[in-house]
Amino acid sequence: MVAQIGPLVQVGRKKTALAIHVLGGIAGGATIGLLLGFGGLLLRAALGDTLDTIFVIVVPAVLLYAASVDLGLLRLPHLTWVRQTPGSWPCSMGHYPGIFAWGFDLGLGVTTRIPYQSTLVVPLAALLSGDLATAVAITTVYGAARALAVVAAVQSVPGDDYGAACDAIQERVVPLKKLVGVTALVIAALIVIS
Amino acid sequence: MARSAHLGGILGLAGLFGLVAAALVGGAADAPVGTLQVFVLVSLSLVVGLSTAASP
Repeated sequence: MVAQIGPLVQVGRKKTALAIHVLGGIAGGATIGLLLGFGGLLLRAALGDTLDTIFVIVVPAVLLYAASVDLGLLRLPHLTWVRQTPGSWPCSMGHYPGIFAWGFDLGLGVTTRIPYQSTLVVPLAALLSGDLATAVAITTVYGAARALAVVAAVQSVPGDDYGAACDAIQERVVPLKKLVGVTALVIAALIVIS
Repeated sequence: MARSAHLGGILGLAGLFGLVAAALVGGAADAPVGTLQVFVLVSLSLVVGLSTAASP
């Protein structure tokens, strides 16, 4: 879907398109956060303070697993699925609604291909936090950050050479995966010691 | 130079957004998981989100 950046921002007004995309990402993140937050409240009602113990054990454990896979230390199959945001949406929904829907879909974080295993921790932590505000904060920041990454990719393009931007992005996948893996390890340690 | 400033601004905006969210939730709200944990989880969301531009 990253190959759609060029056509998306070239058809209409670039800044408007990017702003709508970011709004979509925020809305998608907030939506999944609300759903997971309510799920977390149900878990807290059922488990009480035991949920905090589960959180402190499960989240660092999954972070450790995810970091090991992302860093290449564990040769396990990635937990992911193959769905991508349909490239036809701007045609079927209209230009700006399609861009919003693209951001919303990516902001959900769980409906498209999962590039890093550490991504799995975001919805898991939101659910196990057992707190609506925490869940919404975690997932909304994810949705906004993912949309802003697209904005950064578009802004980094010299002229209209979006093909080169896509190539540059693909070349950064491996170092970014290592960065995410190291971050996951640090955060697992911080959760355990805090 | 202008492009670098743009990128720096975008990343700074993202960081600020994350920090504000973490501060609001962890500090103001009565979050059971604790301020530091909320902060680090929001930071993880920030890093993972910003790193997924290449994903479809």
